[in-house]
Amino acid sequence: MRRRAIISMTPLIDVVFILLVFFMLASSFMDWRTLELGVAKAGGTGKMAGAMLVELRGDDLRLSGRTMSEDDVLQTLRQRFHADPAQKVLVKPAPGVPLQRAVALIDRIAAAGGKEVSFVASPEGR
Amino acid sequence: MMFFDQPSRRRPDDDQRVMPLINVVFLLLIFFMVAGQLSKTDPVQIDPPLSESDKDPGEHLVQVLIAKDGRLLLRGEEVAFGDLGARLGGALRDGAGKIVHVKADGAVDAAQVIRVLDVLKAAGAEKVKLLTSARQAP
Repeated sequence: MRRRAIISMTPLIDVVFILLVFFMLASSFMDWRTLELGVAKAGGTGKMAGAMLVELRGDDLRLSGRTMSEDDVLQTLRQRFHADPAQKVLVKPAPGVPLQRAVALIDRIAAAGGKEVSFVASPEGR
Repeated sequence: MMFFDQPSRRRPDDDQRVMPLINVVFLLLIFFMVAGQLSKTDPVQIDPPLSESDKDPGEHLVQVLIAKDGRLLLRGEEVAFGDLGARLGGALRDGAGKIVHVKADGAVDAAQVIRVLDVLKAAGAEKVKLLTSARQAP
């Protein structure tokens, strides 16, 4: 003969379902990471002397004033990092460049070996 | 009689038949409890930039949110860009560590984020960290 359950299952399932829905809605599975950012002054202080400047514009990239493709920029930087691992890099996004693009570029510079990558503001009204 | 009579259309082994369902629901419940973290949701929706950075966020003293439309939020309240430094000054003066997290939307103008970072540094933040999301594995 089957043993009769002391508590009936239906209220238990109700409660468990409500808990399940609560945890499904309230928990987040976002995998947060951080990127530590330095900000260099646009005026150019001595601390940042000798840094390579990468300008990020609408469609193109400029390394120290010369327009290049992204692969060329990374290639050049890789050689610099090889010669001097502490080489600093400044990233200067032009107004209108989305943050995602700037972060992607910083990622690639870091992957190429850049240890010190800082943002620098472009002058207003340009 | 202690229990109510079962209506005749219900099978006597009803409880037995829902057991697998309860098992699965329990497993799902435990999964969501353990795997997800409960956190306060942000007052505005923010899609952070994707990045390959692998550093954990860690502790922070203040969090500044930059919404997609460029609004700034500090502790859930909207702040004008001009007031940000003044509002932060108090918080950063007496805190240890002075790490500030900036949670900005990936579509925000990078130049605006830099202006905010400038203000944060000027207000006394030692470290400014940009929150990003891990890139999805292809």
